[in-house]
Amino acid sequence: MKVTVLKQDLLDAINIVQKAVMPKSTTPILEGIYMEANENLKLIGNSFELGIQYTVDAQIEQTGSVVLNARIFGEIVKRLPDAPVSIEVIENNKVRIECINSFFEIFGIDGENYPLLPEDDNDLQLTLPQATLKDLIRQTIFSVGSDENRKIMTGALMQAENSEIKMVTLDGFRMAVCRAVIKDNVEFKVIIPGKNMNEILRILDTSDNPVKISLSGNTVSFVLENCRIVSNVLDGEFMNYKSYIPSQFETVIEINTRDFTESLERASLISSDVKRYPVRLQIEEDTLTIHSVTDIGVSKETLRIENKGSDLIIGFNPKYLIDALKSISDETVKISFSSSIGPCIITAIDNEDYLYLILPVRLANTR
Amino acid sequence: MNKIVILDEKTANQIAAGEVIERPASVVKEMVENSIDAGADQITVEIKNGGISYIRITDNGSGMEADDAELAFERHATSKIRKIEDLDQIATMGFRGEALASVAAVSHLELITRTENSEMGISLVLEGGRVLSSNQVGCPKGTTFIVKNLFYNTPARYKFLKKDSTEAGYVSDIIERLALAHPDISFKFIQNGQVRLHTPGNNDLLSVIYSIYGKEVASKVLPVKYQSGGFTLTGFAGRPEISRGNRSRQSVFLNGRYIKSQVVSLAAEEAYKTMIMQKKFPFYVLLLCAPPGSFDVNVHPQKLEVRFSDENIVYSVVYHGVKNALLSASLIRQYDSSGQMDDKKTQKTGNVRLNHPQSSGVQDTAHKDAGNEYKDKVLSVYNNILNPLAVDSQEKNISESGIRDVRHEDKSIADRDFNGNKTGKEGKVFSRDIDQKDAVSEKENLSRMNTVELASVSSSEQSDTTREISLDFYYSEKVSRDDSLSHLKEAQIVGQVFDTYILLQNGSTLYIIDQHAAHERIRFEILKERLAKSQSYSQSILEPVIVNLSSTEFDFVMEKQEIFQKFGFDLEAFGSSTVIVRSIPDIYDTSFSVSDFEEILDRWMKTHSQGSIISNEVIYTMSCKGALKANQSLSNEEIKELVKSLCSMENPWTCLHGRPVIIKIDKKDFEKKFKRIV
Repeated sequence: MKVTVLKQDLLDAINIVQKAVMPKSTTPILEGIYMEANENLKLIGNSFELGIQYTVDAQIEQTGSVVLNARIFGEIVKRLPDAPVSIEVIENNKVRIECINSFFEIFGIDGENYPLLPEDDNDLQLTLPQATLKDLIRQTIFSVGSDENRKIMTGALMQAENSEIKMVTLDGFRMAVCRAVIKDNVEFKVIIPGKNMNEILRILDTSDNPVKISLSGNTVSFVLENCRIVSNVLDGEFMNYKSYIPSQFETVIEINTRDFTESLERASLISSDVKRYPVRLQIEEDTLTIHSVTDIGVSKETLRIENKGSDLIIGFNPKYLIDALKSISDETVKISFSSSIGPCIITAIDNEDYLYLILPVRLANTR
Repeated sequence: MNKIVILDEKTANQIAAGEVIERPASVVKEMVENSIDAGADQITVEIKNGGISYIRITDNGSGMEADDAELAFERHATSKIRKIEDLDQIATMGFRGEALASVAAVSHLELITRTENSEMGISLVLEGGRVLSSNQVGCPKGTTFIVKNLFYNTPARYKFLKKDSTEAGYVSDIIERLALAHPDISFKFIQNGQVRLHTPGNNDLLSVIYSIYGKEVASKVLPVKYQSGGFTLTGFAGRPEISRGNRSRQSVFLNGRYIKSQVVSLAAEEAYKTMIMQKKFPFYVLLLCAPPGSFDVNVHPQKLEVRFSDENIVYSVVYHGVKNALLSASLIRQYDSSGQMDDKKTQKTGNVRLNHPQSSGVQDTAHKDAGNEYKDKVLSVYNNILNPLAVDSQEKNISESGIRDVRHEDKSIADRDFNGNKTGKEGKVFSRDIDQKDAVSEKENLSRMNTVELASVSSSEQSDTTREISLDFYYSEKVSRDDSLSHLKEAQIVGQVFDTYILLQNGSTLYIIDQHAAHERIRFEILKERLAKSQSYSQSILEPVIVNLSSTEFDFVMEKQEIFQKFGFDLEAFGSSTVIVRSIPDIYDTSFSVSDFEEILDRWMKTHSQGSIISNEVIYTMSCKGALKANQSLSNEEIKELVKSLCSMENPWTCLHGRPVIIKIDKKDFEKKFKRIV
């Protein structure tokens, strides 16, 4: 194998596929990046839970493949001058890397045994703009669970039906549901590990370029123009999330998203590092008072709201409200409270594109 | 022919013997307990071949009349109780009247005994429970048993005996326990002609600990003294550094009887929590004095297990007793350069006082002066007033809390009075009141002094070896917590090394503090207090946690439902054995699960303390997270502040995992290292 590739192109590729490489493995080959020169240069990182394949334009002089230790290869390329890099496999998988005056000869591993990514051969696929998928992930990923004992919660549900795609995450105290319209009329349901969703989120850009999602066996792949990401899926049944959403509401308010977020952020400034203090929301006609009492001090502020229900006092962990509000771009949101000890939901005023459900903290005087 | 017959007496006795007499150690136990019940103050046990071929037990107790001697070998023959009601007030070690008959049934036995009033003693020879001969002999007052060829007629039992050395080890264990329980009795244990143990019998538990465990241990124990709800706890708790990998050095005595009690060991180990490393078990000898009727010893054939009518009290007495002992002492570890304590001790000059190791030097001199004035008085009235006085002083000391005399020697005596004679006790209560009003200060001094005097008087009567013992280890330094902390507080900052350890110097002592461990401890105690005080919020959870419980657990949870709620658990019953948890305290995160709830419940039910609802592990993690790390350089102001707050901690000595926070090195240790002194 012999190729010449621009340093920056190569580095971008390495940085992306490296995310899927196991930092420590019992098998050295899995700590490496697979490179294959064919029509162009293909790089693969694969940890079985996540695999990423990235293609870069390169001048191919001789085809072939090799595996190089990801950390060392990455560090070398990162520090090379900004110029074309030549990579050549000489005898015994020794790899010669040359760039202007720099010269490296490092030992690689035969690419023959590298576990390549599974090909997808399934009809279950849909296409949507990258920006839309990125938004979906961004708006839900923060409430994915972290408890390894409840594996299912550490994954995000991706469900397609009726020309719409939905992502759902929940961690026991809160839940996020977002949806987007798609052109394909397919039906599928898959739970993707939250960890992988975070990596996918980073790779996606905000363009309208399409991303194709396809399901095959126990993997799901996201195909972009020059990149293919394959993630494993979690086995099991996702929680029946719809059953958590209350149908009756005592109090429904409309509030300016930004004002509310900023108020909550100010109120949580005086929360201490060791103990989480709840904020107390008091709704009286068309005012909302945000009250916080901690061992550091007291804060209080009032916002104007539109109230379509009865008055209410309820406590929340402010972080959960802030996380949800920050992912919303609408100027105004609707918050519906079922009762002072029941869940509340945050939704858009006039559509159902997102829904955040948050469970309250019981305050002494509301018990 | 009838299939069912009544077994002949010989067979019945042998079967019964199997329950009580398992091995030579059981013989020794039963016989020595008899000696103790007979009021002996010197007991000698000699064994050969691990006690299988020969056991001799000699005491100077009351002895037996000739008629009684023969009757004593009948089953259910006892002098200790008359009817079942007496069991509630039992003060003697034995009461079933089984031991002698059982031992006699399975061995060749020889008994020589004389009471004080008889001119001649009697010698009985028995074989397999049958009296072979009975002769009048001349002998000293007391009783001697010689048990030979144990299990000669029960080959099955004989076969199961272990090696001689192992059996001897069991015998030795038994004698050690009995000696600890009875510091007023001088025990001598001879194995194959060699003296293995000899306690002075000078009523000083520390001497016994010294005799059994050696100087190293005896110099590292802290006196325990606590009283509550009719229970009195005395004894010694070992400093964390003498902890062992197993529980073999833990002894608990209930009214003079060795027992195994889960409540007691649980409470004691809980008191040591965060002071010793994981998988280490503390040393302790605890004497629990419980009012009669609050426990039942008749549960186990060897009387090892005891049922308490109220385990909560026992738990709290032991926990607080041990905890107070640990917290009241300075637990700074001494850097030990040579590994030999002897050199260090002989060079200590400050504390020359005998038999009073627990007070600080200042207290000592004060008492000594006072003591001299009262010396004559003490000696003359000692016998009459020691007991009520001792009880008084115990109560007083607890209320004063600063004084840590050891007065366990009174315990066994006071104990007997307590149990034996009710009217006598009332009389004493009266006189005690008068005492208290009239001469509080006098009494205080007296009671402190009498230990000293008694011990020195008795030690002068003892053999040379005994005196050597008491002289030697009282040199060991015992510094009170406050002295030690103020010494540390006033120490000058030398600096910080490796950005990890703080060096401080005061006088000829160098203190080294692990900054991470110190800060972790400070944060832990502050956090714990804050969490206990602050209001607990309750976070609702999406999916209720459903916990299946046993019926005892369920009842417990229902009974404590309000407290659970106060701490932030919102739960409700679901059926008769299931609880639904709908919201949890806010210190837990989303990973809260059924097993967390079960853990809290287990701990609560075991420790009887509602504080356990906040998992210590949660606080550990929080304290560790925010604590100063190693490799972090500190300014002098920061060091000063750290040392200051450390000194105000309840337990400044160890980090949460039991590692030491402070160690000290004396100038002398440096001099030794540099060979200035050898």
